[in-house]
Amino acid sequence: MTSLLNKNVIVTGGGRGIGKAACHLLSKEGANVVITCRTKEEGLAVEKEILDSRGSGKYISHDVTSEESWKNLINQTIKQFGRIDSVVNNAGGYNFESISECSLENFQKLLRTSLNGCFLGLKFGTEAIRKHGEGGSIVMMSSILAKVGAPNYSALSAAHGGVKLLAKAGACELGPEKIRVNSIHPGLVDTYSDELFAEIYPDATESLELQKEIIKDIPFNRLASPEEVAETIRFLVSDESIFMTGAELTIDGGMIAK
Amino acid sequence: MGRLDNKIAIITGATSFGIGRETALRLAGEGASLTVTGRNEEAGNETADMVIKEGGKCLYIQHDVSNEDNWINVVDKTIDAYGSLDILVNNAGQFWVKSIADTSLEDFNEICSVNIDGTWLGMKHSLERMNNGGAIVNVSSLMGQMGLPDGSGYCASKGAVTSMTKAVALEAAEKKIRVNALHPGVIWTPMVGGGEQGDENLKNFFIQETPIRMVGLPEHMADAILFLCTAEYITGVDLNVDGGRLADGSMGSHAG
Repeated sequence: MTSLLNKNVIVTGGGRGIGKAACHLLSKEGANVVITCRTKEEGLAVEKEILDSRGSGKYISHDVTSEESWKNLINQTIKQFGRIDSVVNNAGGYNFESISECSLENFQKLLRTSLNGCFLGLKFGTEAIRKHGEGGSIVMMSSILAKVGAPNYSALSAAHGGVKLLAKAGACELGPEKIRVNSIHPGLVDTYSDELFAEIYPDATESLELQKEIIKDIPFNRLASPEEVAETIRFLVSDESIFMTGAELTIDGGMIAK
Repeated sequence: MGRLDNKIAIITGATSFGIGRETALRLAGEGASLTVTGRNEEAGNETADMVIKEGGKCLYIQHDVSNEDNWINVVDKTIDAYGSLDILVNNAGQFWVKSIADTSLEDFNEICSVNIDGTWLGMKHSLERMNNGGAIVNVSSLMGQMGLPDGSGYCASKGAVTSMTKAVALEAAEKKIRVNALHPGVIWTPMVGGGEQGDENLKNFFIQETPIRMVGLPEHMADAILFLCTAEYITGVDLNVDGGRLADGSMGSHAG
């Protein structure tokens, strides 16, 4: 497949989950993929898998909350691949605390990763795409929490709601330069095994139990696979969505239609 | 290898230059076998010939989407010809602008019968005969989500399409059939005064109103419809493909 031939794409949070699946799919479709994440071993592992399957990929260490780190990422990407066509702002944090439990510090920490990170990706991604002036695509990973409320998700709702409208503002401002900005809104995604989830989010085992209850109420009675969400990223990065900007792409098995 | 190999699809409103014909060519190019429908026999056969010339399989059936017997005939003949059914693209639609004072109840009923009844009948008669894992795409409109002066009939009918899409998505989930609405912005086709003979001034007006500074083309919609036909976990959504028109309200068109 060649829907992304010669496109240079940065994927933040590319070391695991949806980001990892996206890196593999984009590379299979012909893109040069820059994988960013903080856990070096995970990023390097994805890079190796891509290179082993004759794709083109490069891991670059990156903290989405740091302006310096973004500048370094953009410079290194341009040095490696010549130009940037697309930035997929996929990295994000988690917080499953109730409003009473959640400290202001934790609330702000989540916003820094999930919302500020997207703002910086939009800001520096735009600057990089402007260098060649041919337009490009910026993708924001939000969630259905930007569209409906849920208990114990106040910080994530605030962050993802912000991301959704940040994308629309970007779409309006950057449309005349043919820079497209869209948001993706997954429902529940089968990202980690139960064991891995418990290891990564030791405080969130209640959320895992809750998730099992919720699956029964999803019209499709299952979680999304990371690969299915990755396909929505591929569509938004590709020229198949050339007239699409400021739009919300929901992928939730019918959850919020209900 | 195509993304729709061995799939059978019905596309309504595929009789002339526009979203329907372009979608027919796109889906057939990905391996689907087609029934294309519409009222104009000559134009319908032309679409079918174009698909066949590109190496696809295509059958034209004359069809008034507001007529229930016509729908039963279209589904019967498709299954007779190909053996089953996987995809329905409810694309046929009517569009006009007229002030609410000048719109008669007959006018209003007519646009509703084509846009609402036509879509509803298509879903009703296809769903139970469709293979598990199939897909329905209802072509609604940006105007199903926002107001258009002199568009009371069009907006009402498209709002209904968007809403019933969600209801039917929930019913169809049992068979893992996905039902989604596509919301095109301004697509430069004869329906809105565009296409090859369209007025350049009108085109420029639309371009300036759209953040991405272009009009949509039928091929852009065909790409989005193909995406909705293949995206296995997406159901009950409205997908806006409008160059940012809904996102900006009436503010963004003054920027840049």
